[in-house]
Amino acid sequence: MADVTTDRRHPRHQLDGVIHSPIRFSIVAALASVDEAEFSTVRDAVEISDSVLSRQVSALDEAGYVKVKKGYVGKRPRTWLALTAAGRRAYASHLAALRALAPDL
Amino acid sequence: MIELLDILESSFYVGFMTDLRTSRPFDLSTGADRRIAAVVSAVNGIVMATYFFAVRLADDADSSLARALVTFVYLALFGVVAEVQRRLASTVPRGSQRLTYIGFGLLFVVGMVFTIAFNIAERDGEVLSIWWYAAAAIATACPSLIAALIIMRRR
Repeated sequence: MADVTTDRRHPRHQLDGVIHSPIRFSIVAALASVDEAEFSTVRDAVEISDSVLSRQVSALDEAGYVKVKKGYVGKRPRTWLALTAAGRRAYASHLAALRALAPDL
Repeated sequence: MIELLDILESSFYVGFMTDLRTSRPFDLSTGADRRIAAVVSAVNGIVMATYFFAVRLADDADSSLARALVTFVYLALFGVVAEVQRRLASTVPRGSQRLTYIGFGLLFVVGMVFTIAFNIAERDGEVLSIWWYAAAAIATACPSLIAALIIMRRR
């Protein structure tokens, strides 16, 4: 991964297109604060509907940034979400690019 | 008028910067999640350490039934702890899984050291007092208990 501070190109090139959308950025930021989180906890924290979270998680899953684990608690299905190592790297790189763009952050 | 607008704009900017400085990082996990993760780490450590030496006591007594019973209780407790965490926790706090694994790894190292020491001590057929086993179990559980404390206090 190129270092944002030494790269001669404008920092905007380091912004991650998958993470950059406000909702996906919020989901990734929420997941970055934990090892794993239950689907409904992320949904409530980011204040979005099940279907929106499901769609955005699919996009993040396709990019290899989020791992989805499905299971049961008793008879009720539960979904757990976690950032992958690639997801954490992409998030850190995206934050570094934001800080390079806006040093006040 | 333009100057007034400039002042207003710059005061808004100062306010925004203060917001940035005073903003706290967003954390999805709650205090309850941290407590659950800590208790899981501690209980797993205690169960594993107890199993280490309970099996040895069963072997000393030459009872395969006692060994099977101890193993069954151990596996059942492990399952119960995992299920409790799945049911009660909505998140696994950041770093708690790694700390639990490190505590568990160190627990095995300490347990193996005690096992080797006990093997040497019992070489001549002498059987150690149960208090030695109890003390070893407590010492063996320590890495997981320390991991639990760190998980609990971490923010």
